[in-house]
Amino acid sequence: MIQKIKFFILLIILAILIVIINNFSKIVENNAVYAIANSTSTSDLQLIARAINGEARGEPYEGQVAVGAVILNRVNNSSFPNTVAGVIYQKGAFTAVSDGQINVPIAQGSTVLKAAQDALNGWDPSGGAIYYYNPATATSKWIWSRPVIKTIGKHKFCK
Amino acid sequence: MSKIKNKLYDWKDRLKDRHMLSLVVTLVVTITVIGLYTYKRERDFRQISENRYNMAFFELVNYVENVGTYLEKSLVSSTPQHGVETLTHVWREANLAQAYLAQLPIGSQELANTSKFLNQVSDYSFSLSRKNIYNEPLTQEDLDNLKNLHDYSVELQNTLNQLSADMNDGRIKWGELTQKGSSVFATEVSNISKDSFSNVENNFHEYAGLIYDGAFSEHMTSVEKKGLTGDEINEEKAKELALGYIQTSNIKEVNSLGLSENTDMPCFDFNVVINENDNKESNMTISITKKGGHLAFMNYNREIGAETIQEKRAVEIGKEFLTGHGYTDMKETYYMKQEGIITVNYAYNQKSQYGEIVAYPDLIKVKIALDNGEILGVETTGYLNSHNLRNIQEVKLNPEQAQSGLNQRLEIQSYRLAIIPTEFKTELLCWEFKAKVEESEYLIYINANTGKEEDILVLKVMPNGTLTM
Repeated sequence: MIQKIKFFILLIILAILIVIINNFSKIVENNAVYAIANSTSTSDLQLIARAINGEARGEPYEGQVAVGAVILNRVNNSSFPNTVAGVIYQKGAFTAVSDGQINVPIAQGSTVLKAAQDALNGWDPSGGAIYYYNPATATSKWIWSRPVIKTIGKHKFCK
Repeated sequence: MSKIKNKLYDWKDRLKDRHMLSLVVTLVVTITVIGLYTYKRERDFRQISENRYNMAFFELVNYVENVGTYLEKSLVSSTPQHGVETLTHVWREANLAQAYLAQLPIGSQELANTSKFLNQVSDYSFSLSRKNIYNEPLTQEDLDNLKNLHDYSVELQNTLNQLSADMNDGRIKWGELTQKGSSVFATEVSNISKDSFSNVENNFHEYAGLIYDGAFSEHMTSVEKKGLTGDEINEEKAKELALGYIQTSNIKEVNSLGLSENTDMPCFDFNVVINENDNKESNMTISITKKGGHLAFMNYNREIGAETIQEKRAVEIGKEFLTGHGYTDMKETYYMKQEGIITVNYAYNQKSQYGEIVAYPDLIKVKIALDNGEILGVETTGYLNSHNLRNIQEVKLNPEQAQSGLNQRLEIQSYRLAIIPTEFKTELLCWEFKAKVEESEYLIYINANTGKEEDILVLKVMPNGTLTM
């Protein structure tokens, strides 16, 4: 009987240790990622590319350019911040910013830099959109009420 | 009692076995230490965040108050000179207020109207101050607008002061606002603050926005598209037109993605799947406008092979493509080369009795692949928005007169007539002077009728092309 209790206590302690160590390594890992992000320059092109990388990595090329275009459309819109950094880092604007995906380094052979460059050069496949959402994951009721311009890949682009 | 005591002693003895006791104690102590450490770090980070939000909020309160004060002053300003000073202050304070508003931990939809108000106050004051600089007095309409703006800013001020009082009294904490899944009390508190900001928003739902000559003016969104000529077409015709732009013959299929609505330029969108050489597929997207069947944009993403085409040749290819599709008289202005693709800007050159005038607003951008000269992308928004045959009446100033007002240090290399866009989508006819000072090159635009210096562009020659800033 005592043996069993000892065994269970040991098990519980081990479990707690594992949980804590896991979280600890996540903290360390996140720090490493932020360190990488801090060492690269963040001009508008880089920022937009990283935002696209965080938001639309797996999307078709047109979808990536469209995300970049949404960022620029917001800069030009009076209801949003007036700079690329302001728009991207506005609270709640991009989930990739809230969960740190924006700091993931851009993979080799990724098209996001080309997409960001196209968006900066004026290509706007979103048709002037200032909002977009993924209908499969969007939880906000408000975003569903926005008028849809078109759908590209997994995202619906709206005014 | 003694039974428990015996049990405890029994435990102690068992724990002494093989240093179990020390092991267990070490584990417990380690876990506690780690736990305390992470908790403290979390608290520190939260404190830093809260401090920044507080700073942003109090800066916002301060700047909005200043906006109100300066607006009030501008209403009674007597001389244009003093008017400029006061309005410049409004511009600066409103601009900063907007910047700090954007830093608050509140969602964009809640702040949209307030943001718009601050942007328009800032922008409007800027455009009015420019009026004053040229000694134009403010009209009654301007003064009425300023009065309105002042009233709104006072409302905003009052709401922010109430919020500020709430925060100072500890009724609201940012930490609870930003926390998700907080306790009932916290959510109640966060509701108050969110509601207060929603109140700010509600006060502004009546703020319909100003119409004036500025980048954020209301009329910007409903500007007529001069280049979008022609009748409406249907999807079939659009598909036909789209195919006409594709150069490659390895088309696997053309998918129609439908008509895009709720936009000021409805287009039929097509996705073209193209077979590449080694059994790879790539996609091209083409958008044809519903009105007139114009090409809105085209974009083709594929891997680029080794470069074989010279930049000059690529620019020619782009020009031939445009001429072949009805865009005549387009001449290159600037280009940028990156990773085997060259993006060239072409502007429309209008013939007139004064020679060729380059119309910069009528801009088409073409992407050409440097491995085989294929057209990878076309972007025509500028052209469709502005292109029309301008009625060039007399040009009051000749180049010598226009040149006389230029900075003495400039060494003029060439000049020509140009039409340039303004920030608020109007156009100006100017003499464009290309000039050099020491090692830097500039483009200076002098209004061809008034002699006023409209704009200066710094030419940055970069290894991958020439850009203007």
